[in-house]
Amino acid sequence: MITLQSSDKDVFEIEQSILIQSGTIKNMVEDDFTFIPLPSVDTETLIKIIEYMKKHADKTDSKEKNIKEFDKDFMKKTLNELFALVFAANYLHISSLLELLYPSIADRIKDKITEAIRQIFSIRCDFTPEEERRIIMDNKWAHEGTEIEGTLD
Amino acid sequence: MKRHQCKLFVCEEIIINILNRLPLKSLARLQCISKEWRKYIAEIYHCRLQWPQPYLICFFCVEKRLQSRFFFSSKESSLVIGTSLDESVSLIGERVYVVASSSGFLLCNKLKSRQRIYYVYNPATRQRFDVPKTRILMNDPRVGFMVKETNESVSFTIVRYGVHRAYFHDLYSSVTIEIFSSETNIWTANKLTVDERLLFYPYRDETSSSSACVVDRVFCWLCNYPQQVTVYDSVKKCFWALGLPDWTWFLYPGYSCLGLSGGELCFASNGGTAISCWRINNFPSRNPVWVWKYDIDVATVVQKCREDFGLGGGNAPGFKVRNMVFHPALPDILYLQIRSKVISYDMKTSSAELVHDFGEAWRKTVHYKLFSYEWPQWPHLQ
Repeated sequence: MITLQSSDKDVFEIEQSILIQSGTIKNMVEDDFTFIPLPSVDTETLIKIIEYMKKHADKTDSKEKNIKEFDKDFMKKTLNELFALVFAANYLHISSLLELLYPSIADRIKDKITEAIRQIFSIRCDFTPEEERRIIMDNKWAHEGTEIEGTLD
Repeated sequence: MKRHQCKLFVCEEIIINILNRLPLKSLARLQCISKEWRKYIAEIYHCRLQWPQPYLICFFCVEKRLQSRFFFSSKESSLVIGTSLDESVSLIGERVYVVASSSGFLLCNKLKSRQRIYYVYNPATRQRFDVPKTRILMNDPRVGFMVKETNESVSFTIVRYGVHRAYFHDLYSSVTIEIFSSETNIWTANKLTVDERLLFYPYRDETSSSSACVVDRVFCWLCNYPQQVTVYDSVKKCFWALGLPDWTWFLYPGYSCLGLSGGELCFASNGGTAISCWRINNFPSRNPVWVWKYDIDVATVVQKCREDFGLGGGNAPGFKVRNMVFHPALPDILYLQIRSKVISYDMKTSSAELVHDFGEAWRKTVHYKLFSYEWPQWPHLQ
């Protein structure tokens, strides 16, 4: 059994066999660590990560359909939650979860207006208004269409 | 309490991984986010353009309903294409039907304009060109359409011709040919006397293909009677005829097709029990030679499709094929419309794959026209 500690100091005891899906944890376990602090992962996110790993630990054929359903539902979260998951999965090197998260996030943001994207990713625009207008004009075809929306989620 | 919180720092690796999953159009749009994003996007976009392009087969229903439909014949298309193109064609805003396609552009005719008003439209990028009205009224002209796209611009040529004959057995035909070039933006018309036994009887029914295959500025049409390929060389400005390798009962879309595949002119002839496929590889020289490639046993294909794809039973399997179209790039693949389903048949491996199901009673699909529509190159990132 391995003990994980979240940034909020909550502890979770999980079987090693489940946790080795995380490359980071696997390395630490191989170095004989049994207590692993995770200062960059909060409790809420850690609970979800553990839920994911538990579901994916048992990969028998009969469970495959279940796992697919689970994955689909698992992605039905707010964008904030998805980002928290992607940071954690990135830090923990859980590649299967990342492969699930990247396209889901991409799908969520693909039709958002630029202002919404900047807010979500916390980006400051370093183009002058003139430059920005120029880029938009040069790629007019990409800005046409009715799908573009402005929500932050 | 969790108000919407801005991420403090999304590391480069994560951003790039997310951008990598966006379709091309979104990528092009998000270039203006910041200089850093523009840099990432330029690289991803550039790599994406190197991917093998998916090919689309396009369906147009002629006559009454005039609905245009697109569907993908390749599975990796979503990251390149992103959204459905079906609605895009209705954005033309006019009641049109599609006549031809080239390099991702469609040539459309305005309904009820007596085939005198054309539009050129790219459903992916939504570029549109309104072509000035033709100078000449033609009765059901044959049309050819060729697009040349460079980094800076798009130019296209439209060729249309009609035949006049005074008498049925008249050996000398005069042809009026009208050509539009986007560079000059005008139609130029010419009347040519053709003294070969060429355009004897331009019999066409509504379902035969009126659009040309274009190779190197040479336009080719499959001609019903006499059975031949009518060729117009737009450089030398002359017509000539190319014999067919095989004789068929009718040059009806389900019985024969002429197509351009991988740069080679291909011909398929459906004799009822077998479809024979031929190819020319020294076109457009004046003495090209048809090389026989494959014979497809239609009964076997239909039988297999009945099991795999639930096609109906009945006799005379060869005559169930309503349309045939060659894949624009892979000459070993033939698309067959069998009843209300479209199958791609790989002649090399003898394997069939269901590509599209109209989901309608097959008699409703009788007037559907099949076009092979090559996926366009996206505009370069500016």
